[in-house]
Amino acid sequence: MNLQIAPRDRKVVMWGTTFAVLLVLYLAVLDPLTRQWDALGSRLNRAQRKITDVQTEITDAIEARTTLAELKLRAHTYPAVTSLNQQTARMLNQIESLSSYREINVSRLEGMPLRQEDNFYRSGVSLQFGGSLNSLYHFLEEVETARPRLRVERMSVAQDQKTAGRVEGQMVISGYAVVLGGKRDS
Amino acid sequence: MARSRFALGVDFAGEETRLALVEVSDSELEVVWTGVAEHSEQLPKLVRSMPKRPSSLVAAVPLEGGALRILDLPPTTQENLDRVVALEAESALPMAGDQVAIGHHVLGMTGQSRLDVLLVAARLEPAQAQLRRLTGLPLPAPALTVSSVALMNALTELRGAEREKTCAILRVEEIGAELLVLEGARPVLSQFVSLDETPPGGSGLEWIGPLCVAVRYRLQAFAYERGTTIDRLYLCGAGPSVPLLERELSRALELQPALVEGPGFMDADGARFAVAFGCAAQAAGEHAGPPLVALNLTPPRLTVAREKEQRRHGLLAWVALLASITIVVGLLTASAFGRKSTQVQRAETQAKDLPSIGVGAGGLQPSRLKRSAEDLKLVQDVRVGSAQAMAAFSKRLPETTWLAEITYNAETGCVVRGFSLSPDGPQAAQFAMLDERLFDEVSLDYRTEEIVAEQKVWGFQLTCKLRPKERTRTRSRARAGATGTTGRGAAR
Repeated sequence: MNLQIAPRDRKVVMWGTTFAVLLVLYLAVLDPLTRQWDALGSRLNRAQRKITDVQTEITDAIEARTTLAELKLRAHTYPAVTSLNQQTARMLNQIESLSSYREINVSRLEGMPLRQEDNFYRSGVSLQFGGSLNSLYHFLEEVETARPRLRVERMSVAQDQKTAGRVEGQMVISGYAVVLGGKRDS
Repeated sequence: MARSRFALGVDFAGEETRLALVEVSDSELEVVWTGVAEHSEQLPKLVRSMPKRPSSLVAAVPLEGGALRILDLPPTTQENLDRVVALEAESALPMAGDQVAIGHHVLGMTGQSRLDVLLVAARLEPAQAQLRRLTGLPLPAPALTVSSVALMNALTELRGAEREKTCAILRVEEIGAELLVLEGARPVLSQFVSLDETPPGGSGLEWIGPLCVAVRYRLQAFAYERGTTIDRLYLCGAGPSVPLLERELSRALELQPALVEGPGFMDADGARFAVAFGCAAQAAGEHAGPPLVALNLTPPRLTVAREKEQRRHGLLAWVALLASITIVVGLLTASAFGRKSTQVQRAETQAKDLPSIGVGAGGLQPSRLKRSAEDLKLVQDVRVGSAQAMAAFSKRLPETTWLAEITYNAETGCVVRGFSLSPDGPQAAQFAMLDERLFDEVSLDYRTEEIVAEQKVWGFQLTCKLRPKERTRTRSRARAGATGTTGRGAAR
């Protein structure tokens, strides 16, 4: 068919055809490809996010374990607040298990009320003792190097008036506890 | 004075070949020689008898094997016009076939500012057959035209401005007649009238009647169709030499025919060379006369084929380029998608293989544990421990000095009470503790002279102070302010 068409109309037809071809190309090829590309990108992001989350979890776990190990050197750890009633007993037991404990003559050993600090609990033991200065020194040294850590808060030592070379006095030793899980009491 | 040149016109009229040699000078065109070769074998001799050698040559083929058309085209460049005419000829000409030679001439512009183009065509094979008569002759390369155009040129050259507005030219030859009607410079009717219907065995003039009738019908049809009348009928060719023809035509058409005449064409014999003269006039090129239709028929198929081939090659090149680009883009896209898919699969496999641990280990929150550890460190790290203080007091105090009581506080320091055998013992003890650099401040609270076990001694009290942990306290205060809580006892 010999189609007679004016140059102006031919131009319009040409541009229209070009536009139509481009539109069809976009709708049939580019748009589906873009959608598929976006879908792949989303899948990749999800997978990478999951990997990052797991990596963060692992890092957190390692950090938690390291910190926990460090923490166990400094304080007794308890899984819940309800287990804190064991703290004083465990601290008394810890003091009594020190080797130099038997070198001093403890006349009175008394637990003190548990105190709640911001991020830990503090327990105390009041100790009335007598003995040689050397034994006391060894005991103090062992207390200060004990694990979990103990701290001599206050101490009063006086010379025994009756027996030369002996001292007597009293001290307050602090121990510490941390609750690992659950809510702390307010 | 400019040197004159010679141009030759050749008319192939059946078996005859008519030649007209014209001399072209500055002001005029003059026929200097005419010749007729009744057979092609006579042609070389005739050519050699020419008084002058022509510098250009135009040959005309009869209209029997050709056609004339007027094309109405939009204005365009000459180069584009050739292409457009070649393409238009495909549909405008009745001669379907590959062996067609065409030529065109722009007659002028129409009232609608479009180009009025005269399209002329001739069958290539008969035209080439007739041109072969000139092969081997000492003549320049011929340009090809058709007899009707040659007649137009002859009339224009001979009559010029005196030509009637609407006139007809009837060329009568033995092979047939050719009727051409001109409206100004435009050929509006061009027809070949066959004389084959002449019954054999007659006087030889039986063809005149049918020819007159045929011409009359054609002219009447033309007049009826166009609403115009023919002002004059010109006669040329071999026909005017027939005595009855003029009279019969005059009677049939009610129009007195006139011979195509002019310089060198003053008689009926001269009118035989009208076509050859028209060709020679065209071959003369630029001269003082009115402008003529200059044509050279060439095979348009070659042009069209070349054009089509070029277009096909161009299209192929574009298609190849587009295909290459598409393939490259496709490959790149596929490669990108492949890489991305592999990346996604790897990441998904990796993510699938990784175990989910949960928050912390066993629900531990590292940040909270860290805070607890930091706070414990601040609390547990004392500057001077009790054992260290005891050791310092035992080792550093002077020998004449002994302690009676030690009060230790991890935060504030120590208060010691003791005795000395010498009065400067307390100061010595103070200096010794200062030298030890354990405490921030060592002050002697008092020194008293006493009698113990009948021995004169000097009792004293030293206060060894530790500066409070400002940083710890500030931090604790800040935290307490932030949370609204402070450390408080909780009985368990």
